[in-house]
Amino acid sequence: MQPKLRLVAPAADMAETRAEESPVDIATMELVRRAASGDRAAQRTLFRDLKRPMHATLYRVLGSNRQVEDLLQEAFIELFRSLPSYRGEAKLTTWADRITTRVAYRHLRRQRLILATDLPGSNLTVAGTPEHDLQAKEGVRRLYAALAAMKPHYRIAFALFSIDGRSLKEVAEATGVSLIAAKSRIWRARRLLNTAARADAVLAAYLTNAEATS
Amino acid sequence: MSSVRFGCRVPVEPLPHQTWTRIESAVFARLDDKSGLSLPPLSGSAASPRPLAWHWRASMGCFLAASGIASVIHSTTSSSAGPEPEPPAATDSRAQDGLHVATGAETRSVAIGDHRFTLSERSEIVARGDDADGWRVELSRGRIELEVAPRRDRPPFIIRSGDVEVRVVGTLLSVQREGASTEVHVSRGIVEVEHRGRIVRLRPGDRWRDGTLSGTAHGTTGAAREGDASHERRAARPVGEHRPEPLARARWLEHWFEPSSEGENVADVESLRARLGGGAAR
Repeated sequence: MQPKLRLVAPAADMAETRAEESPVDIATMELVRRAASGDRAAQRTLFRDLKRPMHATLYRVLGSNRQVEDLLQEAFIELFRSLPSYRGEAKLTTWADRITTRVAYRHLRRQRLILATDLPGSNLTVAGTPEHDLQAKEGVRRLYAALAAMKPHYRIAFALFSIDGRSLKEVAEATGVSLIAAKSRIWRARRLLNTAARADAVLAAYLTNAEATS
Repeated sequence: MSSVRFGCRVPVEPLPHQTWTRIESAVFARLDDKSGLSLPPLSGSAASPRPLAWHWRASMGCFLAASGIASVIHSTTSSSAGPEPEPPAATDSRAQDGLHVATGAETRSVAIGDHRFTLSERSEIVARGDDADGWRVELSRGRIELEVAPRRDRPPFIIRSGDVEVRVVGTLLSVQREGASTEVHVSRGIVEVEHRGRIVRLRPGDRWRDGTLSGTAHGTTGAAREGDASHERRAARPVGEHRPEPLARARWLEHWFEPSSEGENVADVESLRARLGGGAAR
């Protein structure tokens, strides 16, 4: 008797695993080449071009700016040191994403028990009454608290996909895993969130409202 | 919760300008601060390893690997009939353009970042480079064993022995050189050997020597299998870029499906199997 199976990833996703990245433009490759050779002006240009995307990735994974400064330093150091091995087969932002998520992963492993107590931001664009905004803020805080209790790679995959709005392919590229693995991680994170939401009405309400607006 | 995505993304709280200035200054200060190599303490016996951060860059004739140890053996070619002279005691010195390590009658172990590095007796290496540009080890004589962690996006780890260069992304293999002859043995992971324009992929148990491949993993002996175009593409893949090998249908299905006690979405499974020509639902 065959075991019942559940489809984890539809066949359509397979095509994405073989999709080729559009080639990186020559200007970017030249910039990378100059930066890799120690050209400080090129390095500063790269820093300015990548700082906000890398910060956004870290912020959405971690849920706050606490320790983001140190982690951004770490991520940029890794990025500049890895430039000699960048061949342009992936977009530079994808390359930076991969490094940033790796830095975030290492940080989360070290800080496994630290909950996200900082509010992710005071400028939540959740319209409504002040009470509604407060509830939304609390919901986000509890969301990140639930994420903090997960394994780092589940959290990162979920944050990139569901909070940062990346595609499945982008999540797989940023985390350096296959589409199947990325989807599996997101799925597992969702299950854990579901479990947490069953015991937390505020979190459940936040997730339900977020779902309704998606 | 049926939907994966959230309608409102958590907005990013921006960092103040002063914070960015601080980050930028710290990043470039650290890039400028190339501390170089830290030498392990000299001793007559195998020393405790001290972390060193070495990165290696491939140039030609390279091996791609998955994880583990690489050992490079180089023995001096000697046609003299007399006994070898007593090897000098172990020495370390910072050569003008790198680190020079030589062993005498003892072995020597060193930790290099997350890599472990052992020199056998009567061995000598010179290591050059830095973290930013990558590191290269020149093996003059003897044998070294290296445990190289997966490189991911870091520059590869390079060992040069004569006209053979080994690029290690992270692997468990040994490379031995005797005169002009080079032998590669893979214990774990997958290694690609490029030699004279040909690329051969080695798996655990494979042994390659001067173009001849043998091993228990493939049960083949004789002339080395030439790499096909896919091997060459993989060889050209940048360090840290991982592409899974194509899966056979059965393995692909194993990866796509997971056992479910709830039996959800069985219909999707059935339709997928049907689309794949796997036959009717069982």
